[in-house]
Amino acid sequence: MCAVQSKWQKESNREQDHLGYGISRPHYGFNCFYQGGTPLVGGGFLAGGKTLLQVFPLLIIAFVVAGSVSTLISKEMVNRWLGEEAGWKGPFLGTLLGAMVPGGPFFFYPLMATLIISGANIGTMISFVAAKTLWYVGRIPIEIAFVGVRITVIRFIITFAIPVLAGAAVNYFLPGYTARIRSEVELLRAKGEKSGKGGMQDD
Amino acid sequence: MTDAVIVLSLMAVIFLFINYRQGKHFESLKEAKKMFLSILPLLLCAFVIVGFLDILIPEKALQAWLGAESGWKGLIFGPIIGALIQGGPYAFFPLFDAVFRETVTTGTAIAMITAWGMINVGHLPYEFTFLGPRFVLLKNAIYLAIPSLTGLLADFLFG
Repeated sequence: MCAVQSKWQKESNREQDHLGYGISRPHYGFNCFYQGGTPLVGGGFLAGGKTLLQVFPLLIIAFVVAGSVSTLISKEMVNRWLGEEAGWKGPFLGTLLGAMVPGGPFFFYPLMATLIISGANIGTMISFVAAKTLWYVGRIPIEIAFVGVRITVIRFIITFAIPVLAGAAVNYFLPGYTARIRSEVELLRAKGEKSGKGGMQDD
Repeated sequence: MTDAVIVLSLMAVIFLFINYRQGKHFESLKEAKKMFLSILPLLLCAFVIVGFLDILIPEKALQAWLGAESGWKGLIFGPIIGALIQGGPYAFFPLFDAVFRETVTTGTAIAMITAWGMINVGHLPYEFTFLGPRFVLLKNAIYLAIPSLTGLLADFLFG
């Protein structure tokens, strides 16, 4: 972001010169103070507060959707899917799984490691991570709320086939990669277990 | 925004009904409240950042690099910005809404959101830690061009 911001600077007037230095909030606060004194800092908070108030009703609805989806996708269900040796069912199951598994990168990358060790093909995992990062269902409410129905739908249509295609291509063209990556993951797992990393990796 | 309210309300009603049939409607509302409260501080911070950005980012520069007149540049710089922006959906989407939504073309928006998800640089440490360099290389070799291509396709079909 910073690199692009410094490009923007060239085209902007001198008042904007302090923009490119960081993306942390205190820094922006400082920038505002530097440029416009207290009124501008207040303006930043005010603009933020105003945006929040505008979308507040929408947010409540979005969270009702997110909450009810998460109670429908039970842990047992996910576990059953994971226990079923997803690897042999191919990219299609990987895609479905990726679209439904909740949690951030600190959760799903370890999960992928577990799946790879227990026999999943790399192509299936490529499908999984594509679906997870492209259109995880739990993200859709918040995307609709802020980006709008039109762009969300267009994005979904255009990217619809990507996870399955990418995964199938890897399984077809690079069959040897599964074994190689699996041994790398096993090595990393062994290291991780020595330093006692989280329970999420346990089967 | 009205269309979003309608679609989300419909989704909420449908999911609540399914939950109700399984006798979990109360539980799901409690879960929603829990999620909302745990996300709220993050959202407040995100909105304050967004507020500052709104004031600080020069509209003209944004227009030149990402707007309709930027042409192909938007399809290159949009994904780069998307891949560099950190934070989960609750930080990214409000930011997108406030800073980029009005300016960018459909294709650039789609390229940016896709890049934020698929080739986010913030995922690299996790990928290296849990899956190793060979996987990182394979994944990013496959995914790198996808955001720009989806953007191009979106502009072509729906722009």
